[in-house]
Amino acid sequence: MSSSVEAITVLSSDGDEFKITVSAAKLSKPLNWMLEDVCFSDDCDEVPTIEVNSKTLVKVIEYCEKHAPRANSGASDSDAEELKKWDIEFMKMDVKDILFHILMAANYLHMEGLYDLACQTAADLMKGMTVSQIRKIFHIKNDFSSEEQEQLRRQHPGCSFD
Amino acid sequence: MASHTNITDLPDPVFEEILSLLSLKEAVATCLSSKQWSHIRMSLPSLDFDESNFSSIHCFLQYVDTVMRLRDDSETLKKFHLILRSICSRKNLKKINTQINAALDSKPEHVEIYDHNACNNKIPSCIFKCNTITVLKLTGVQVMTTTPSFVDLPSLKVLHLSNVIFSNPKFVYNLLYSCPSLQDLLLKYCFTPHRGRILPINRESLRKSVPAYASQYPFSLEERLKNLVSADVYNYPFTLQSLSNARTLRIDTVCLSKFILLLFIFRFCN
Repeated sequence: MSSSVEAITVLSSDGDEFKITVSAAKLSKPLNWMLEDVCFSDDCDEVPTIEVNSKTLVKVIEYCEKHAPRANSGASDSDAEELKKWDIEFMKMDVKDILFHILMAANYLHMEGLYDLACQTAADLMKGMTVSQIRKIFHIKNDFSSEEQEQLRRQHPGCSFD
Repeated sequence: MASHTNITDLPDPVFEEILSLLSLKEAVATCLSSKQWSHIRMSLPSLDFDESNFSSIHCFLQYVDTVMRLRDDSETLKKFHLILRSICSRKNLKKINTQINAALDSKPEHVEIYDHNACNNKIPSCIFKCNTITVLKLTGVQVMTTTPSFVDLPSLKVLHLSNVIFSNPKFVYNLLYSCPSLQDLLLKYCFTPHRGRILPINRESLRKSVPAYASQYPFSLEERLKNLVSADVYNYPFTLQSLSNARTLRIDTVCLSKFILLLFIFRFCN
């Protein structure tokens, strides 16, 4: 890899091109390996595809670019505090459309920080909820028959279903 | 990446990671929201039962019973955490101990039992023979066993005992002696019954029994606790020399003469 390259181009699974800086790409292990293996100079015509859809990839890149400076150089406590606030705002997203994809992408791209953040966001949405509230929040179809439902209620008398 | 768009299509390890951030009750409710998830409630690696989340002890015990009964025994149990808050009848205590025994059968690594009421539960003695336990925290329970052969905790790294009644104070010695990997010790407010009263275990109550006992072992307690990193003790019944491997030490000074304390601080400063 030529040291002059500061940003690379990647393709989403929908075929759209995205630019990501090298320092941001390093937050993902597979991308980091790619950087080491593949030629990313300007005349290189190979554009790697990341198996993440465009809408999700935009978010992932946004996260990487925000976190890269801190990951690369360390940061003061006030920066960490600011970043935490940014993370909370960043995760305010539509549960059905994007949270699932962010979880899958962070898992697939081995991005520990984003993965932990997305898991915590999902868990916070489940906290203190009844079974039917969880179904509503995550748009989960109730696929139990009424007999199965009755059986579960009998099995779990301490669980709030409604 | 596959084209799934439903949260229930998350791979099991990702879903389990999310569940690990929830209390047991919340994790079970989440599992029950979909067929795809429902089987996971039987293999949750961490079980935390807190009575305060329930309207009555009856509801609570029924819940513990359900979770334990449905559990897949072949799955390892990482953590078993039980918090009791109300005074239990003898019948209920028996039920609780059945569940503790069931949990111990799953070879847990981390066991915490808190009884916030009056130390009336005699904890199953097999807990001290569970060789997979690395963390053991007991508060407000009774330990009735005395025989050294009942203690074998080779993996134990963290031992926190607080408000524990020992039927025989010698057992505290046996216990520490049987934890060669111990790194973190907290020993506070441990008692023993004496002539119809419950008295703190102190050097006085051990003076007669332990020296005779200690001669059975080829090592001193100090040699045995050679991995100790941190100790937090109150009314510690043994010589402070036995904690001298610890790098951080907190001693409640109520029972110590200033002279011994100064000597000890001096020793650590060097």
